[in-house]
Amino acid sequence: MLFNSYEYALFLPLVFALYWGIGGQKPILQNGFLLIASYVFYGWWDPRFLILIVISSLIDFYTGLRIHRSETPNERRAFLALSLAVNLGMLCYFKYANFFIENLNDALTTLGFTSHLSSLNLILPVGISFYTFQTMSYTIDVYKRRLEPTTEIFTFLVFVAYFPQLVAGPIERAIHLLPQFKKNRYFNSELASDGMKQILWGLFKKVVVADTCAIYANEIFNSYSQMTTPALLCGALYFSFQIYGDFSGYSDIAIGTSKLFGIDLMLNFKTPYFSRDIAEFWRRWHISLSTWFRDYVYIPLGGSKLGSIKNLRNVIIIFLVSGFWHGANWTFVAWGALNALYFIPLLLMKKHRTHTDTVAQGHSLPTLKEFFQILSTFSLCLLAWIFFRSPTLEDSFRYIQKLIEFNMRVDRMDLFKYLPFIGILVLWEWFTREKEHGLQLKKFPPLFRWATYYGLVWLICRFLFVQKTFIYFQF
Amino acid sequence: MKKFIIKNCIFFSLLGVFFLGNYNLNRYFQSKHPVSLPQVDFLFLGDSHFERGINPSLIAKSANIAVQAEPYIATFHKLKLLLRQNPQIKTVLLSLSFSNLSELNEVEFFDSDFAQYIFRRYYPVWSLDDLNELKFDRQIYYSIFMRNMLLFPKKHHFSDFLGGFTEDRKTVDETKDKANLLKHFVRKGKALEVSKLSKAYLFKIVGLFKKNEAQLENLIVIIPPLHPKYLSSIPQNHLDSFNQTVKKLRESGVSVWDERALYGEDALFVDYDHLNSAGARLFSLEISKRLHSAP
Repeated sequence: MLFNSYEYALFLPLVFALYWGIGGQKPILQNGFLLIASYVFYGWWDPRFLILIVISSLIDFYTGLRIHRSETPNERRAFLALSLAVNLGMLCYFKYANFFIENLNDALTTLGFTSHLSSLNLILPVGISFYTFQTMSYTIDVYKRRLEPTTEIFTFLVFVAYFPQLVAGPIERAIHLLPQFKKNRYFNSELASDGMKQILWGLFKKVVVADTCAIYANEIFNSYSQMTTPALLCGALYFSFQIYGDFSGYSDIAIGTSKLFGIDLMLNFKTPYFSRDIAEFWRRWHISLSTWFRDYVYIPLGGSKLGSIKNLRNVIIIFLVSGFWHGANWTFVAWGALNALYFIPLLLMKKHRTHTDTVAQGHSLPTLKEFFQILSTFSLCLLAWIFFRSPTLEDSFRYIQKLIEFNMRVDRMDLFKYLPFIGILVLWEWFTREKEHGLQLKKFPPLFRWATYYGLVWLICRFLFVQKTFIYFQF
Repeated sequence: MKKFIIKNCIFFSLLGVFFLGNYNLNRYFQSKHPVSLPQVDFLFLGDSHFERGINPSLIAKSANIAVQAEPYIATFHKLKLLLRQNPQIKTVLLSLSFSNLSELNEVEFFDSDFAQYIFRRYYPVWSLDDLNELKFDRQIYYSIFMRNMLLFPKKHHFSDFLGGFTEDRKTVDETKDKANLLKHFVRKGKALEVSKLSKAYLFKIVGLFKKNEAQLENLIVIIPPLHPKYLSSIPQNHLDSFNQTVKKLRESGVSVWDERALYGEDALFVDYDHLNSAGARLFSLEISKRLHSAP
């Protein structure tokens, strides 16, 4: 089920009413409803793949308990390995099997062998990259003794399948989410109202910004060979706002929905395009994934404690793995590598922790220096997004090659007509950058607030279903 | 909780009032601004075959409102509305080609590539009851309905479905057009069946004429010219079904003018199943001659 669908518009109030009406304040009933609702939500797409979620959940529940109870380190390691093997095995099989087969075929052909390996006819289960990472974090935390495993199976099942964040995150940690399912939840009117506003803001970013940018981005990227520099620049700009609107919009809807059920989800985006360097960008973009890689890959590899060479190696590894996580294509690996390349100079100069606060905090405008820092960081991101969006590496390089031909002829004015809307979004986000989302407008009079809400609802209805699916569903 | 629910009820009720107001205004505009057609004797209806192939300026007292990719389910409701609002229409000439009876006409309702265009054109004439007998993309239908009926008052709702003659001077380009030769019979590698629904709606259109709705006196079905290469590529099941349909139409008293093999020169076609402007000129003159010589 998509967040921007009529089904969801009926599903959410129904689950909300049952959760608070019948579920009352009893965690068992509330969790039961959430579990059923989550399985319906996921099964709406394809019920066959529910089995994968259940298998992943049951194995991690069991291995979590066994790791905790095991007395020897070998036994503990064995159960951790079982959990990782099942989750990574599922992920590799469904997401990367064809990629490995194709690349093996290419490699064998290059070496002069004849390869008969044919591609598998696989459907990528929605959200598999997200829920496998979430459940792996549970077993790793239990193994590291950072967390006591839960003995309540339904609580664990709902932790894995919790529908607001099941298919596209935020990738939650058991330490943060699991205790919330165990305790009593009471309705908080203010939190729920804020949740509704966050859902509205997320829908606006998805439906009005991302889906409309997608039309132009697709057109430009699909026929980039016939485009000139201004259009190609515009294409990269459209895609950067498409992916931002799409993914941060999804996260806002997920977090807002969760607030309706009295459950707090972690912040996933914090106005990343206002970052002053690439390190800050990565602290603000897809926060739940970046911190996941930091905690479960970078730190176990030694982090920054094993000297600068190993630190450099670890940074490169997490950027490459992060790129590969996004998809089975060399373009994503190149995107990760490019980001590593941006990051390494900051690391070597020990400037990767310079900007940990919000830009121009307490001021309405940035300084000239900050402005140019933001502009240069955004330009670097723009370049990297070309790799992310292009179907092949060859296309990415050709796109960039065409871009730097500097043919400034403008053939089609219509490609630029959505840019003012992006400008409005940027301005709005700038003035609300210190807030959790763009509709925390408490200091404004009610009339202005309600007019804004109605205006956004009108725009969402106007632009609904230009494009339907969320980009991050495919990851 | 109470405060939250009351606040949300007020918010959504006001929104509902706004939508309802716009809906009623749009219904009012639909009834106040009907589709008025010129005073003509001959009205050409159908899909791209007539849109490209019939030049009404060459046929006295005629109008062409054919529009590309129009399925018969749309033609039926469009004609019903037009006859109600334009009782002067006496003779309707309907295009019938192999594409009209292909399953492609049903795909148009759930394949998002098509559905956006189809619903945008015909939302004023379709009710949910009409659509419920086929598989259709509800999300796209609702969003288009909402966009056009609920968000703002709109005076003209019928402008998109009227269509008309489109001139195209291009001629057959074998390298490009060959790839599209089977476009009506195969989609995304899958063979398309004959559409029972399209056949049913063709006979519903005949039914309108039989019921003598709004004094409609004459319905002529015309099979437009097709390129020999197209004719020789039609799958047997489609060919058999088509010929049976023509036979059934004739048995029910409808005049069917079969012009499918009228021309064979590349120079008269845009691609393998549409006439270009030169072909349209010849074909329109031919039809005009037949219409004005008919008793």
